[in-house]
Amino acid sequence: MKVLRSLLTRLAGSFGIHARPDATDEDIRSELESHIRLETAEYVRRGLPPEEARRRALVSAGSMTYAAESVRQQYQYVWLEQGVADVRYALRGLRRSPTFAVTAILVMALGIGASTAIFSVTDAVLLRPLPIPNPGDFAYLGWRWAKGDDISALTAFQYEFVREHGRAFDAVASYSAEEAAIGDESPAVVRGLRVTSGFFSTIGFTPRLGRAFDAAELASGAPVIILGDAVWRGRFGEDPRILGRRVALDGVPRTVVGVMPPAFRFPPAAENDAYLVPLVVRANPTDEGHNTEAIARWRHGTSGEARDAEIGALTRTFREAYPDLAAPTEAFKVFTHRDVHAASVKRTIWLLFGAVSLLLLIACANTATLMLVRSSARQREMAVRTAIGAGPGRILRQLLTEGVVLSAIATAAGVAIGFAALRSLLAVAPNMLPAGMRPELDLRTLAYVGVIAATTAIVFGLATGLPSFRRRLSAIGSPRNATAGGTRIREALIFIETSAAVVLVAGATLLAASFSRLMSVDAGFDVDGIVTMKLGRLPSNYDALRRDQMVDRLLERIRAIPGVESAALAPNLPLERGRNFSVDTRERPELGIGAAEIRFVSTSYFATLGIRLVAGRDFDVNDVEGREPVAIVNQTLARRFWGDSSAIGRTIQIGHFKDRWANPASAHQTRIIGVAADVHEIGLDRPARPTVLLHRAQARDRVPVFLIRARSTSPASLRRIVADQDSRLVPTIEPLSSTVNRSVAAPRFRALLLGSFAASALLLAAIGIYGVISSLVQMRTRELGIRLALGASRGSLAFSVARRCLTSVSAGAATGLLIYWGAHRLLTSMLYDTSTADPALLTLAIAILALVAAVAGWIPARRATRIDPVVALRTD
Amino acid sequence: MAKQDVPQGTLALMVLRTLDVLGPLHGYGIGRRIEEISRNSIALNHGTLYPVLRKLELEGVIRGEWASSENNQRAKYYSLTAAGKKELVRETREWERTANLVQAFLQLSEDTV
Repeated sequence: MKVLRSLLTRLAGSFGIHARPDATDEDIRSELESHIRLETAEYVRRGLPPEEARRRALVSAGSMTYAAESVRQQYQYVWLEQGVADVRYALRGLRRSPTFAVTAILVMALGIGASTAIFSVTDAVLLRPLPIPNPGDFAYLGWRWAKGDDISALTAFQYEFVREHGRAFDAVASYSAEEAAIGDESPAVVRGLRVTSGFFSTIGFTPRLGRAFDAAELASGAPVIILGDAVWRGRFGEDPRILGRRVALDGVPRTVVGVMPPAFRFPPAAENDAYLVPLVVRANPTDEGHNTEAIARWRHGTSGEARDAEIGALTRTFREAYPDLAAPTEAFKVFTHRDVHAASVKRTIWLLFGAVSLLLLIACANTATLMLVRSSARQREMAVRTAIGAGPGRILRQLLTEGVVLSAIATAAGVAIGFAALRSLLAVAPNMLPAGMRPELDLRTLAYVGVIAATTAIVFGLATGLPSFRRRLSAIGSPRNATAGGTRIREALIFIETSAAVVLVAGATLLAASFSRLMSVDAGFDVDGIVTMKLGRLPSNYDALRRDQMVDRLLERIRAIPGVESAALAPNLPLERGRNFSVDTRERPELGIGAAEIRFVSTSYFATLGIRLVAGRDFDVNDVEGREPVAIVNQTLARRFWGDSSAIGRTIQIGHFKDRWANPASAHQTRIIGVAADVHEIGLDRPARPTVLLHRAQARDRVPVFLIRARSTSPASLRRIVADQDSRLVPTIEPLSSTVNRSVAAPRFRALLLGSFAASALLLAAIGIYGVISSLVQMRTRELGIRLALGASRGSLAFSVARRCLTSVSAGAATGLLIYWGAHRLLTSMLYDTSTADPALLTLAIAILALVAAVAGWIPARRATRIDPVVALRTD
Repeated sequence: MAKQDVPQGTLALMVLRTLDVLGPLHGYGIGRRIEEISRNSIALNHGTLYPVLRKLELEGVIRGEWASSENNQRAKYYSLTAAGKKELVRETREWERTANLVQAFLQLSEDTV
């Protein structure tokens, strides 16, 4: 207990806060002096003369200063007080050299901030485990075609098969994500899921209120619904009697049977957590559509080999039972969440993480260089302190504290910058990241920042501490005698900085070149002067007939707008995903295509987009439902089936592949009436795929997009036309160029980000080189003056100053190239029409670095040539 | 016998006992008494005594007050608090127990022949 009483006082005392009146110096001194007085009085009483008495008293009392100090120490913790004093001194020192402080902190903060933001993204997408129980047991089930890594969902039939025969699974389920309007009055559009039986066991969550769907409801697709926690709270006010209430979903009343817990997450469709309804999967062996999403939960404890064995067994059994449905090269395959959702961004993220780490390394090296330069200029100060009586440990501790203080401030600023960077990253590229993988500044990120902070603290502490090991008292007299030992370290740092910079610049150059080549690809259709319009979700009272009528009317009215050259309908925009179907011809069935692009378009489609018709004619009003089915194919498909001979008049079989019709009910021949020029339908960087274009009149299903070619048309007039039709519709109108830009968002993002990293790296390396050479010149002014006086040429002086640095830079550049070479294959998948070993581009990268280094080194080296020998010799 | 330094803990016990027996006393007086009792074999100076006094005061076992001394000089007088009395009892018991234990061992080695 008594310890506690003194603890607080001593803690406060360490920080200079003295609340007790008896802790003041005055009180201590008074007491000590009163002791002296009393003792003097005693000696006088014994008969000594007063002066002698006082002298004896003072002698026996001992050093008053020491005593006062010892007493003072009772009111503090010495180590803490010294630490606080060190921190105060460090802060004062930073205030006294503001340029150094601002530069160092800014550089480090930028490096730390960028690293934090990128790490947060990396963690969210690639590292963080799924927020469900036992995430390692959760798996996707898909179907692997022969070629490559294309993941396909299962057919309904395959799904049922797995459910029946899968032995190592605790549960298997399917789901589909959807959007619907919930509520009776003023319904709100929310996103939810349709789920089959086994869903709750697979995902590991069950309703907190009420119950899961029972077998009967799942088998029949009964009108029941389970609400998500947020919807129950937000829309239904946490109604405790929600169970049994009827809630309308898209106008259809459903009975609430449960509410999910707040922790419920469904990573595959992370934003679809508003409601759950039953999904009925109907299996049909001839239905080839791979549209059934399958998820499963392994029995806990199943080893990797057991899992592989199970999947192999399932595939074998399936193939034996239904040899028509599975070629020898096709198989079931298990995928992780990241395989499915993050595959396309995985490489980009690792690339960015590597790049930003390099940048951080450069920033660290740069700041350490700055600190070394600064600390070797403080040798005099250190020598004075040693002379006064500071032990080497004390000085070292104070220098380390300076490093820690700098690191702490930079880290705090860095976290703030990282937070801002993250927000702007998400604003600029919101669709780059898979849904449900939102990066945030959580504990894991902060732990990463903590590690970075600690490492930089140690590095900086060493950077300031090392030169002081070589301090000499003689430095008091001539500070210029400061040792050149720190130079070696500085050169090493330049070497590191240059290597890292070269890697970044090389990567950035290649990505930039690739991106510019991509942008100059001819898409095959016109981009300027075309506007797109999407109608969005239709209100629930539209059936197919009403929908088609409305769309046709809109098209008519749009075509009638003055200034509109032509308008057309398409199922999706170019460069956005469309549908595919199998296609072959009767004469050469072996040339059949498993997945050709299919587009149902209106008349004027080609004219509107500016796609050339190489042969034949466009659709016209006569090609309606009921008449002979006709189609227009693109050059790729025509060439594949018939080579150079004309395709006009020939027939194809849509939906027919390997002697089987996907839908026997609509098995017919389709006659080709035209051939269109190839278009980069699925991506500027992908070659044209075989495409079949059919007239909308022959098959419509959902709401198409409008393509409008006009010299100038205002979105307002388009909106007015739509509002006239139905005021509830809210169309999205944007130029076609936006769509094209969106399709290259990823390569642009990569090039931009890596480019900015590379630019920052170059800037930092330049600052580093400048600083090192500058300080070298300053240190060696006298020597250079002497050499000048003795007849050395100015050029040779400049060269001698820059020589060591030149070596470091060259060695760094060479090492950087080697490192790049070791990792260059990582870039392959991200480059379009550019080789990762392109010698011209790599030379360009080195040239850029050499230029920057030369300029950064030349400016201070020139000062060496301007030295006046008379002034230099007098310098001290 | 040459004067020897005394460990802080022991000095604290001596201070408490002195105040207990003699009542309120200033720092000089406490130091004199301790030197007397130890028959001048302990080296006490400002640097040893006063830190201990302040430490005990911080811990609340003694209380210091400025007052006038016999010859009308200002001095800081220390007195034992209630907590101090308890602390004295406890530490005395501790000391006696330790002393007995060591004594038992010392006797043991003498008896073993």
